[in-house]
Amino acid sequence: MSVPQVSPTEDPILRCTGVVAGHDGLAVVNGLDLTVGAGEVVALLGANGVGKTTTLLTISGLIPLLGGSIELQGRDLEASRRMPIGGGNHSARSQQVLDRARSGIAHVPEDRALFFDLTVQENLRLGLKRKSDRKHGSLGRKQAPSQVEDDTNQGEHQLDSSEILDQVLGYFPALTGLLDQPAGLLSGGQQQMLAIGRGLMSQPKLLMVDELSLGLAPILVEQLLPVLRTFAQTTGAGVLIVEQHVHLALAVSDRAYLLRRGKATLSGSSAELSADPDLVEAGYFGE
Amino acid sequence: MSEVVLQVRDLSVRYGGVLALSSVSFDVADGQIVGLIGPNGAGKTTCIDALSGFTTPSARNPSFSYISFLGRSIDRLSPQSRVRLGFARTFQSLELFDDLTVRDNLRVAAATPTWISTLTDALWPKRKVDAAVEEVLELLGLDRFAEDRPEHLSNGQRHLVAVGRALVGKPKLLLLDEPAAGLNPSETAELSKLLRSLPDRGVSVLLVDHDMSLVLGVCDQVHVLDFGSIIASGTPEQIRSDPLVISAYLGHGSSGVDEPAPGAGSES
Amino acid sequence: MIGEYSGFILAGLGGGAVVAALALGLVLTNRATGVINFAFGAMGMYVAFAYFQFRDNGDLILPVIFIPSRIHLLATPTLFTALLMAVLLSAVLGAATYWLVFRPLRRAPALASVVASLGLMLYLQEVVRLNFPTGSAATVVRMGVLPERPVRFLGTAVTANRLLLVVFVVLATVALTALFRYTKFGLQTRAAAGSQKGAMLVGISPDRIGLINSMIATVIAGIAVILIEPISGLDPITTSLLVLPALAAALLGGLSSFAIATCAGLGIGMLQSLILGYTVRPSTSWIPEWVPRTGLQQAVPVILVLIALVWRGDALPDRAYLVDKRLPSSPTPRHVTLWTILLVGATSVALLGFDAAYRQALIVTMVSALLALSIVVITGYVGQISLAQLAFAGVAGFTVINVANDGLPFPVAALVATLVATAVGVVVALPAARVRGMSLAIATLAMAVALEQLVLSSKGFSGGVAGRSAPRPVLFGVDFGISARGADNFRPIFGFLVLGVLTVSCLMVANLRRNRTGLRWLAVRSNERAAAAAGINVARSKIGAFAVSSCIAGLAGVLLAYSTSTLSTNSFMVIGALVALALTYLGGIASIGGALIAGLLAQAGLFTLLANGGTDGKAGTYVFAISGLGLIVMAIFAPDGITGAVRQGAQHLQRSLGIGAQPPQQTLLAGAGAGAGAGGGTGVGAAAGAGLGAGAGPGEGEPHHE
Repeated sequence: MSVPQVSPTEDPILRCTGVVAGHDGLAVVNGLDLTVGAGEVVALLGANGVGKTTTLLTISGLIPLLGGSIELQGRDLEASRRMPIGGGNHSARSQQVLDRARSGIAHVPEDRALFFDLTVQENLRLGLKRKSDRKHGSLGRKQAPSQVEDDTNQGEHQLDSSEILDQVLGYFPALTGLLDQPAGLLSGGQQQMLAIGRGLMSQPKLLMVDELSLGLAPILVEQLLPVLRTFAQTTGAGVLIVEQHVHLALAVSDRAYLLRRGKATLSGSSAELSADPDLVEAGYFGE
Repeated sequence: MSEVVLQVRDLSVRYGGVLALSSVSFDVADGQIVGLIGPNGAGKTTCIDALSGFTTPSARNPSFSYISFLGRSIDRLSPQSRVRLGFARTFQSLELFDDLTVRDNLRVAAATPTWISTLTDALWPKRKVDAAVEEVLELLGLDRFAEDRPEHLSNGQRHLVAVGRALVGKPKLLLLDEPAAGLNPSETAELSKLLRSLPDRGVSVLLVDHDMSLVLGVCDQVHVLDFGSIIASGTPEQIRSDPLVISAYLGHGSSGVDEPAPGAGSES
Repeated sequence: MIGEYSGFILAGLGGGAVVAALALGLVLTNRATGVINFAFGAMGMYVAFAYFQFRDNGDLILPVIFIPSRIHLLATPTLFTALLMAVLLSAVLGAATYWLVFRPLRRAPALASVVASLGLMLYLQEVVRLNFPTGSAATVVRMGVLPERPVRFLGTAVTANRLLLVVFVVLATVALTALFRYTKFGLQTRAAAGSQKGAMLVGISPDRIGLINSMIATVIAGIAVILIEPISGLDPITTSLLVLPALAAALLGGLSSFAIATCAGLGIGMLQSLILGYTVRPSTSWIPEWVPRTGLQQAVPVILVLIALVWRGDALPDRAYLVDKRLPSSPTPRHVTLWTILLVGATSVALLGFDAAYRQALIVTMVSALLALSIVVITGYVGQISLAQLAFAGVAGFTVINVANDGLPFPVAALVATLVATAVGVVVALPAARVRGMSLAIATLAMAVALEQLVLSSKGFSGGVAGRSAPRPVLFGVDFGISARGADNFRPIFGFLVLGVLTVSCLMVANLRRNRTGLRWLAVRSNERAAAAAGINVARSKIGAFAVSSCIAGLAGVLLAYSTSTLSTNSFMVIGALVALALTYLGGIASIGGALIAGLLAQAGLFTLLANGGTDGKAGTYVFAISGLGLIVMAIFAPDGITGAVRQGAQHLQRSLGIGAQPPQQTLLAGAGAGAGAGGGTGVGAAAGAGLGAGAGPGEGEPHHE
């Protein structure tokens, strides 16, 4: 590829190496390498069915990793338990999802997985980590703490739950007036804000948003994307988004990967990629 | 002008508070392949659901025909009655009958039962060979797998079974919901060859897919859905260069690049 | 006017309170785990037995078999220590059943959880019978918890314990509502119920939520059953079946509202008591003589359930409806002619060669197999869990007796009765076609109860407790009667009649299964939306299948009527319907062979006789309990039943012996195949052992399942 490879961040929040993943033992993602650095917004692009959603599901542990490794702040997430192919052990897998959620991965899935019967405030409150998890918060103790991590750690110690809530409402002021509304009655855009807001409540190290613009008016998408940008910059967390509006995704992200047939066929800084639309088109169609 | 097979007028569908389909109108003429494209969540599957009777349109004026098939209003018909008139559809998630062999998946759809058939089926032990089933199996190259269960087939073959099940009842109109999802390029090429052969067999097609090269390659007419409304219609050439279409896929280009990239729909 | 009935209404508070408490537990477990536990009443029943035993002599009796179950804990138990023990015991029981039974079945089809909870219910009933000295009730003095002195309430005398029971249930309702509304745990439970994926992604463990709620629910059930004992008594079967009105109440609350479930439970109790009071009044003369008075009382709540269920139902599931995967596999019948010749030949030889006792067992086996075949059609092939098949058989059984006694000759009477059963089946199917999964199981159960209470218990129809006798079936001067005149010797010719009916039925079902009708049934079972897209009228397919299966059940009922000297309502009680479904599942619910094996396993069938004969009747001691455990294990690990295990074993064996055309590259796997084959064989052995149990229960007071 003609676009120069962006040098991976030195201490990435997330590092995927040779990831193989898919449903029912059938590999959709096949040998994906990907990093998300601290304070970085990374976009995952590609045509339908290339494995973008599968990648996010694998990172959060909802479907088993078939090969390769996933590291969060230098710790191998799969080291503790390897799933058998086909993932017969449902209970162990669900424990894995819990562990990852508690250790700093927030995943906003395609269907948003909101609690429709609960109010906006209750949905947000559920996003909070348990106190014990909040204290021990970050897990990458082995590596030398970077400047960014020091900042976030200080933040964690200082904030109590109502302060975190205020902070999240600061990102999404539109939710403030809706706190007592059931989530099921919100509009699509408000639901997406709530889903992301619930993810932010956990003060994640890594925020993943799948199909951010799904069913939303473009104008709303244009409002939402910069929030992710601000979040990454102010907290030093990594953000990984799957977005179908290529143009918007490239405008807001630092780097992007173009997936084709389960592999990243193209990656580079978003500025470079948007300067060369033909390249992206070629990446989509493989021609 | 050839005869109009399907006529859709002012069709709207509401899910909860969301207007998933808003006053959609289009025609499918005899022997035509009509494409329906649009970003994820634009209402494509909802449109197929409404046409095939799985979803009730929200506006219902009894004196108005929202969906007409061969000149007859089918607004009030159940899914299976529409099938009997000559409709057939596939599902995004295929929805094959996993308990049945490939041949039996097709046999199920091959003939309409009568009250008497239960009785004759009980008394008559022999399995009848069904010419229509065998013909479709051969057409799609599935005859080698006829006695296998769908779970043992490749993804591409499973897609063919879904198409075969829809074709076996000799439909006039075939509604295909993302038939190319997850297919590799050579499988997609096979599919597009198959689709092009359908009008000669008397089957008109409404094709929903994300694969732009497939849709623009096989369709005579393409409609673009965004937020439940048709925002553009025309030949593939016209669609390819329509600025509205480009912005529907790539977002309204108010920031960033001046010339938006003509990327395809991109959900996984 | 009100005053006349207020006594009855208040007397119903006790029964209503226990129904409400069980309904609360059902709502709680459903909200937390998505499972409806038919064994919930049985769990409360066991806790109550354990409580009274402990209160009496300080012994804790565990629900275990084979290992010693009695632990002496305290020399002088007090009310407090006994209640504490009961609370701890129910919590442990709730945790154990969730972890071992319902957690593995979270994503399984509704049929698997129905069968597993039936297995749990059978196991608990049997363990209580085995481990507690209930036969000699005098050994346990049941010391009640609440005072029983009468008090005046709203101007009417009522015992204090009834009012206190209501207080307990209302407090529990308020506590649960508050727990759900105001605590973090409640919030998490509501969240997990709304979106399990969302819950996991924010770090909530659905397993922890399920475990804790299951414990709370069982404690409520246990305490309620302990408190109700002085009012309603305590009995392994009757108490277990309190789950039925509780289900009614829970369903009225949409399986999610505590307050509505409690009100509905109390309402059902009072309504039942009121109906009883009203109907026994001498001045109530407008109700026709044939309507059973107690039946009316039992049937009203279930009719309410039915209306609620059907009203909410829909002809096709919507897009979000999760299609049940992992249904028992249903292979196309093969070598039908060969099997027919072999089995008919062997049975004929047996009918002529067996002595009377074995001949009787063989006839029971064949009639039971016919009933199981009807379950194979509706539940195995079409995926519709029907618990009304035994009731259809009962309708046909009494109809044939009545019309034959009115003078219709044998084959005509049998035909009429079968058609009546078929018609009843179609009527049941009309509303049932609108509900699916667990709701359908409950709807058909409700209809079975309604049929049992209103029709089968009707004196005019069935002769009530005394039962009725059929005249001898005579065709063209040939007497097919089962007994020689005056003597009970099970004539072979009746056996041949049954064999003929069973053979023809099996062949017709095999034909249906191989033809398009059967394909359509399997298509409906597999995916209703796709079936509709393939042009299948889903509702009509279901109704047709109900017709075929109730016709077969009707035939079984007719043969049963001719095979017993006196047919009584006891043969058709709801518990029998549950056992019949469970046995068919054990045999293999989606194949004809499974129905035949279920027949062999049936109570008083061949297996029972062989097992009891070989061990002087001692085999019967534990087998019912083992069969209950076996059902749970099968539901979790082997949904294809015994026939499925045999089939897999045979395939492995075939592969390892190199029989059959295997592609060359698979010869490498032959060694592995042999190993797995051996494993499969063990499975069959274990399954057969469990099956043995199901058939050979000691079963005093346990109705026949056929």
